[in-house]
Amino acid sequence: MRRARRAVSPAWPAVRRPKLDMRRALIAAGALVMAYAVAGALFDGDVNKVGVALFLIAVLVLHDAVFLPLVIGAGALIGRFVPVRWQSTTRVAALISLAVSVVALPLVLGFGRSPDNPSALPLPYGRGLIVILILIWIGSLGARKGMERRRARRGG
Amino acid sequence: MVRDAGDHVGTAATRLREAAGRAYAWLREPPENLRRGPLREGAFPSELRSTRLTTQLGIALGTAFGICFVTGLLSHLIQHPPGWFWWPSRPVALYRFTQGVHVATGLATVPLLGAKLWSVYPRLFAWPLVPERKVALERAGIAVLVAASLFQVVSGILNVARWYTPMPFFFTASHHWVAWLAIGALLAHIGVKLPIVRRPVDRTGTTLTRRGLLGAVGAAAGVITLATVGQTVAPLARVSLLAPRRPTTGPQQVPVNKSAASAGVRDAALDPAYRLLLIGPATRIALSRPELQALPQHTVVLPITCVEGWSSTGTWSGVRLRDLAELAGVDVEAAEAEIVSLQAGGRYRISTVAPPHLRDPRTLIALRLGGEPLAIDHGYPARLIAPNRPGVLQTKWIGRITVRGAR
Repeated sequence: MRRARRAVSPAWPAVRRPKLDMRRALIAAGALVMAYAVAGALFDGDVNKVGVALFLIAVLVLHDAVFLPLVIGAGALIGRFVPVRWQSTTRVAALISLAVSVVALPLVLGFGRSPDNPSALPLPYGRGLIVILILIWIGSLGARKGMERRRARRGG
Repeated sequence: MVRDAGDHVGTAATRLREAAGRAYAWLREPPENLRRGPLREGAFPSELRSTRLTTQLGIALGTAFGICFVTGLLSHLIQHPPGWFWWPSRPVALYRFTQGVHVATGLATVPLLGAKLWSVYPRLFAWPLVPERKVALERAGIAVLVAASLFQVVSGILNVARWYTPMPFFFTASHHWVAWLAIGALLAHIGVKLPIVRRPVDRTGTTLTRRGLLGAVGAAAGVITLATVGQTVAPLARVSLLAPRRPTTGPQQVPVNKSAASAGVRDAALDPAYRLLLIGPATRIALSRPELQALPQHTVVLPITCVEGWSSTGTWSGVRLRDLAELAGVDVEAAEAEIVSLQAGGRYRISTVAPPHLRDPRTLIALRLGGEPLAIDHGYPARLIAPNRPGVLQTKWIGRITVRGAR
């Protein structure tokens, strides 16, 4: 039978019969929605198909082949150079800093500013980002110290 | 001859098929010595990765995507209403809420998506690289899901920062269709992974550290939200050091999305011969600004809400649109208006005011903001301000209003 042949793999896990219908329904619905998306984009004169396809491929490749390897490399550096007891704190602070920086980067670069509209992007975002990064590291170290003190008190 | 040629084609096709079969078999079981770099066993040593972590991040991310999809689709429908769609004029700040949630959720998605993709990154290098057909299809689906998710988040961030150069496409239409692509791929992905999501919790691994990571992801989402949400939640404006807008920064303490200079309307808007043309089924009235000011004036406090996620409350004064519709000779309870700007072109030159908004007494053709005559960048000599409506539909520099019975 089909079920017997299917290997138990995380990518395509085996299931008991009753749940199969729910899965099939979700997969079929997903495929239909994707088909609607592709057809909709193809027939929409406002959509530059080549541009959208290029951007889809570019973000995928840049993320998987450049961004994530750099992040994992940075994680390895933390494991190598930061004292063991400070590693988790460093990782937490680094993760939050990275996420905030991703959001902040286009604002800091400020290419969206225009001289005729000073109300758009009115803040000094470089300075704002630095302030936030400092607060993130102070907050992470403070939280760590607080946890240690609480643990010590409980232990004593 | 003919038969010979056919035979040749036949043998060539057979040979090709055999070669493809051999190549596929080789790819399915490639020699072990190709297993290097990220492909080798144990290439990703972090013990933090676990099915449970991935599932929890996946559920949070799926929820965030759902929120963004529903609020985004709503915004799309309001701007491009199909026949069956109906949008009320009250509550006044409903769109302000839904669009604020859309942008804030999208920005808070950054650490969730990053952590989720990190947690499954080793799967990209699963050995062998070419799996059985069904799994290959599933992996192709995941490639679509990841590409579409990154597309949505990255293009959203760029749009909020008004940095259009890196995007070789028109943002709104593309963001809309790729959202459908992402949601479709997400549904299929949930279908494939349902047994894992439903599996009883696996408590192996370093529980505290996993919690620590989830906490860090949550904290990152929180910091991003605090740093930006002041663009629509005014009391937080001072905390939001990364807000693309400040609700009180701009001419007359209200931000501007499109300036008069960039719309190319300065001369037409400041022309002393300016007349607002009011067209009804049987009437055609030209109104100068003093004549508009001589009509009954009303003052309303309404937010201007940009699709980019910022909003700002203003005190607007001017003539009720329903009074103008009455003047033009239509039944104001069942009428709609087409409002045309002095702009020569542009996507948002014309907007339609549906019956619920037209008959709402808070819908004004505003002449003043904060007690002063409208600033040119806010739409002088006259602009539309209606409750519960996206900013791009609050037409500025009005040149013509056509009212008619609603079909």
